[in-house]
Amino acid sequence: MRDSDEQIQNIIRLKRYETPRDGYFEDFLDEFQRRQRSEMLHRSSIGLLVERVGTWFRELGSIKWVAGAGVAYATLMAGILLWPTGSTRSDDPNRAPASYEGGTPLPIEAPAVPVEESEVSPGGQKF
Amino acid sequence: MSTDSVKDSDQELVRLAQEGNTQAFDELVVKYSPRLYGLVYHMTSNKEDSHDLLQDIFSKAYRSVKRFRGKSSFYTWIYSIATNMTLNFLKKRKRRSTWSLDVMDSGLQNDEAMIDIGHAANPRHQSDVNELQKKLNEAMQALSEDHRTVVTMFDIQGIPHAQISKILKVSVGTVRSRLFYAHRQLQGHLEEFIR
Repeated sequence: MRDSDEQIQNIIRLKRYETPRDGYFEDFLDEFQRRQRSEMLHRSSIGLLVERVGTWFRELGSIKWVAGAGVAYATLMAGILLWPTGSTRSDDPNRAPASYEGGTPLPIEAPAVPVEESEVSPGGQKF
Repeated sequence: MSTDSVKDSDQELVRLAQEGNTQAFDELVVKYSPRLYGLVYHMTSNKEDSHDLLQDIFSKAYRSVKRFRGKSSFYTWIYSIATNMTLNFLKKRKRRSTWSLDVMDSGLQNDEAMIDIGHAANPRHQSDVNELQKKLNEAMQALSEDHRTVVTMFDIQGIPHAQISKILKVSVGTVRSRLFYAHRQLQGHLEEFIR
C-alpha cells in the first residue's frame, strides 16, 4: 500500500514538467504592468477619493472606533438639543384639552327591558 | 537562501509596495508567478484560463496589499488569494472543461518515475508522453476540487502539510485525510502505470 502510494506520488509529480513556453513569465509581467497602468488611468477621481478615505480610515487603527463613537455621540446630542420642541405645560389655556360643556349627558347604558319569547315570532314580527 | 531571509525580503518588498512602490510589487510578481501559475494551471488544466486568472490574482493582491498586516507570510497570503479565486473560478466553469495543456519539458525523459514507467511491463506505455499527460490530466480532473488542491500543492509543488493547512485554513489532519483519499482515487485511474 505504502509502495503504491509512493508510486502514485512519483507519477503525479511528473506534472511538474508541464511548463509554459520560454519567456512566458517576462511577457506575463509586461502584461501585468500594462493592465495596472490602464486600470489607474480608468479609475475615476471619485473612486480614488473613496479608496484614499478608506485607506486613511483603516490606517487609523483602534482610534477609528473611539472617533466613530465620539461622532455618533455628538450627532445624538445635537439631535436632542436641536429637535424643535413646543410648550406642553397643562396651564397653557390654548393647549388645554377640550371639555364637554352643557347639554344633557348621554346615558351610559340603555335600560335593559326583558323581551318575552312569546312576543317574537320566528320571522321577528311582534304579535 | 534561508526561510527567514526569504520572509525578510518579502516583508521589505511588501512594505515598499504598501508605500506605492510599483517596482517592489513587480519583484513579488516575478518571484511568485511561476509557483502560482503551477497552482492555477494544475487546478484548471487550461493554460489560457490560468493566464487570465493569474493576472486577476495579482491585480487583486496589488489592490489589497495595503491591507496586508503581516499576520501570515506574504507567501501564505497570496497563495490563499490564488486558491480561493481558482476555486471560485472552477465553480463558475463547471460546465466547460476543455483542456489546453502546456508542453511537457524535456527533463521529463530523465525523471526516475518516467524511466520506471518506460520500463514497466506493458510496452504500450513506453515513451508515450502525450498519452501519459492525457492520463494524468484525466486523473487530476476526476478528483474533487478540494482533493485536487491538496494533490497539486503537496505532490506536484512539494508544499509541506503544515503550510497547506495554513493556506487552506484547515487542520493538518484534514490535509492528510484529503491526500489519502485523493491518492486512493488516483490509484484507480493510474493503475496501468503502477507496477
